[in-house]
Amino acid sequence: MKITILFILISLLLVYHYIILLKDKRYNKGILNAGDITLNDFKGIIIFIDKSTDLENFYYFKKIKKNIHKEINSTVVAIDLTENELNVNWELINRLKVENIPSLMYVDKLQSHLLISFNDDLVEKNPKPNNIAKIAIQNYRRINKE
Amino acid sequence: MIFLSIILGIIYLKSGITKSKKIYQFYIAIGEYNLVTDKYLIHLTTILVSLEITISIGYFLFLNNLIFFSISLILQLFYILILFKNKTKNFEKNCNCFPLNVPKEISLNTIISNIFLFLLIIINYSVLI
Repeated sequence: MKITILFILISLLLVYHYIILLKDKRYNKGILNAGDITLNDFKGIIIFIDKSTDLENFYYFKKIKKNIHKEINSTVVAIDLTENELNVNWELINRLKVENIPSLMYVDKLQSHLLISFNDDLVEKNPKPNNIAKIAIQNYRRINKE
Repeated sequence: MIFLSIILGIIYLKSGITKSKKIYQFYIAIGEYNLVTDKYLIHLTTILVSLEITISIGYFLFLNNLIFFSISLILQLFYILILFKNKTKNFEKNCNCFPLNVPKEISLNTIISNIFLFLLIIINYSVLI
C-alpha cells in the first residue's frame, strides 16, 4: 500500500517537474540579450534586467513578466554590464533612455517611458512581483491616456 | 528509532522542496557538474527532485522496504560521488541555493555532511528491519 502511494506520488511529481522545467526553459530562451535587440516595431513593456543577477532573480522577474503579459505585450532584456561592453547595444539603450537596471519601460516604436525604476520608494516598500506588475500596468494606462 | 526516520524525512523534504521551488536554478547547478548532455539534463533534474520529495514521504510513512532503502542510498551515493569528482572546482553559475548537495564551492564539511546522511540512512534501515 505504502509503495503504491509512493509510486503514484513520484509519477505525478515527475510530470509536474518536467512541465515546470520546460516552461522555465522556454521563458529563459525568450530573454533577449542587449546586443541582439531590434525593437523598431516593438510596442509594449520591456523589463530590463542585469544579466549577472538574472539567475538569482529568475522567478522574480518571470512572475512580473507573466503578470504583465496577461494584459500587455512584454519582453525581458538582459544587459550584461560585467563582460565585454561592446556586446551591449548602447545606441539603443541610450535612445530608450534606460537609466537604471533593473527597470520597466514602456516602448512604442523607440519612444520610451519609464514605468518603474527599482530605486523608487514605492517599489522598495512593496517589492512583491504582483505589486510591481500592478504598478507597471497602472503607469502604462496613465501614459496611454495622456 | 521513529525519531531517525522523521529527521531523515525532514532533511529530504526541506531539500526537495527548495529544489522544486527553484528547479531552474537546480537545473543550471547540476548542468555545471557536466554529468550528462543538455538533452538528458532536464530528465536528470526532474528525476532527482521528484525522488527526493518521494523519499521524504517514504520516511514519514516509516517505510522499511529494501527497494526504498536502496533508492535512497543510491541517491545519496550519487551526491557524494559528484561532490568527490568535482571537489576542486568552483561553479560560476551556481546560485548556492542548495548547499547540501550541489554547493557553489565544495568544502570538506559538505562532503562530511553527505557521508553522515548516507550513514544515517543505513542505520535507520538496519534498525527498522
